Amino acid sequence: MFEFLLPAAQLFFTLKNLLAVSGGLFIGIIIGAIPGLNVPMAVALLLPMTFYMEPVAGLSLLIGVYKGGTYGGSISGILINTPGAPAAAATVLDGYPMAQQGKAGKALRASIYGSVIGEFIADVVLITVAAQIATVALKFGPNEKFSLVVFALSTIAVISGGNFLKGVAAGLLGLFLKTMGLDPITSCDRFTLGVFELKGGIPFLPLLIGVFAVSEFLTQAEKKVFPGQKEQVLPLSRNKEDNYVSWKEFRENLRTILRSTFIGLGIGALPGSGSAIAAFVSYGAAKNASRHPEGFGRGSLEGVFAAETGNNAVCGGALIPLLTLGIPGDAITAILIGVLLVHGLIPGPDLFVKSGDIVYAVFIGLIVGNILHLFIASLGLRLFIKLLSVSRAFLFPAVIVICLAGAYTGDSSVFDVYLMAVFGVFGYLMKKFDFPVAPLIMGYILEPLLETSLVQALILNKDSVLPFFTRPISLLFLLLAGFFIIRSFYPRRRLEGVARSGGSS
Amino acid sequence: MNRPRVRSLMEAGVVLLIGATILFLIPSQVEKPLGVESRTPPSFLPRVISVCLLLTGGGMLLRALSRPSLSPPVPPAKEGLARILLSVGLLALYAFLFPRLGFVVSSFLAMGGFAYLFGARSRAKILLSMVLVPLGAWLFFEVLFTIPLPRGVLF
Repeated sequence: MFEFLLPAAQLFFTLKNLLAVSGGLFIGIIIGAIPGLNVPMAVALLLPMTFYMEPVAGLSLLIGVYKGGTYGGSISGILINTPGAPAAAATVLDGYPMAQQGKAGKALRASIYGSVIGEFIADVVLITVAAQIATVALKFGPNEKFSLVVFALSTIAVISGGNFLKGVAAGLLGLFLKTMGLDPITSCDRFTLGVFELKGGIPFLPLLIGVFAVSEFLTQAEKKVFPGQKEQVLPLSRNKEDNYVSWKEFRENLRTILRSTFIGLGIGALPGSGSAIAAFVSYGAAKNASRHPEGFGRGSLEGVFAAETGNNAVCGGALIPLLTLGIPGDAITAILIGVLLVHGLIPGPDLFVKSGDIVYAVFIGLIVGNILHLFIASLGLRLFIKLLSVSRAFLFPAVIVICLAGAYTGDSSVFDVYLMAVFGVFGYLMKKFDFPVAPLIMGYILEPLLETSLVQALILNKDSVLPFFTRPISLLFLLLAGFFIIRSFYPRRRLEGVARSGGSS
Repeated sequence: MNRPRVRSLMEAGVVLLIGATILFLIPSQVEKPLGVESRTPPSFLPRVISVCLLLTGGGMLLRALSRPSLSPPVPPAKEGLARILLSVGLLALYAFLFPRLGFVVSSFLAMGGFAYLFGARSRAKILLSMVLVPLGAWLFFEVLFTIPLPRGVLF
């Protein structure tokens, strides 16, 4: 490893490479913050450009977009309750309530610090022990993946707040929505209702935009208007404490940040999982371990740190199977494989031996990228916060116009626009009747992995469910799932007990 | 019967209805694979989901009967309800016009309508937003990222 460091540093530290990382981060943050535009789309659009670049510059550009985009989703989530990316759906749970309390600056800063630290630690782990992690990740068969999904689903109990049954119902509905379309194993039609467009299933973008952005638009429409007067979207505290993360707050959340980093790293290293799962699991774990679980969902700084650290740590984790085994974990890493191959670099163990200087130059790019990420995001923060000073009467209509374009661009389908509107009304009704929206998204995201791993596991196990309990990693996840569910009841019961005793006295 | 209890019963009823509808639709809406016998056919997961929804709805029903929702419902004010209905109507009209008039023209009209509904009254500002927002979005999506948006008769 050390023999490659000097040539790698010489290879990386050029103006071209630094501009590539910075440009990638900038584009990623903008793309991530706009609902409807997503990171795989941006990476795919920039891909042809990288063919004419040096491999280090090309990879640095795309990794910059990946990192920036994963963070960028939290900006619109915190400021207007509309996650720009699925990974930011967990950040919204506490980020938006913080913004409603005038603490948008603090929430955005927590999101930056969490993202950068999560990425940094994940990158260091990638550089030092990638091969060992990849070996463990290879032990994950369908049994383990199914149990991991069950564990991830158990966080619904945590993110549902006091509405456990409503959260479960929303999660089940999310699972059901994803079953619509062609069955992934046999390609048989399921619930297509004779509509050709539904053969491809319910697309994710219209669902995400509908239940978050359009429902928020309708919620805003319900509020009293004062014609002709400038109404701010949200209050913005002038108090310094509400706009910065103090050293004391950072220290208090350090354990959450470290825990979420390792959750994100671990989930990222598993092919087929993703940053949204990592964000929700990190959030659930943080709430379970917190001394103040009652603050989650009501503007907890710990919640923002957990979700953001978890989802950005995935970026480093996802590169582990890609570089060490040549296995892409998601759409973005699959595109990155393409870049490697175009430049004659074949991912796998040999890559570190044959092209060690290039690999370690990319690693240096990852670390430098984190520092640049901190600067670019901090500079952008002042600009993003200005969004809140735009009049409500213009901001939300503008958001709807952008969302409509975003919903259309996914598949260039007008049907998706109609779906977005329908899910918007549905999301609004869910909010009105206190059904949490996050479990719906969680169920939708997890369904493909749940179904394929379950069917594969049952075929492998000859229809026996026993291996789910006899294989150690699988059993561990199932036990953790049980612990999550039981633990989520415990603080609520205790609080109710306190409330009852307080009420009676 | 008090209103929180009625609301809780209604919520449980909706969950039960969704579960029952999925179960009812499975025979007609889930295709059977030809010549393949499997313990996990395409209907397996939807069936599990519908049963779980029925159990959850049952749980909500029992809870509603034993302990009504603690928070009483807050119905929207008449004025608020009218604005929501108008917003939904405008949104539906926008979605309808979107492929017919094209992105720029339909967004131009929608932006004006929504801004007025949300309380904007300055004609100059409304007009400026009607021009700048659709045009900005069009430049961003179609010109910068070469993602085609629908075009209508005018643009």
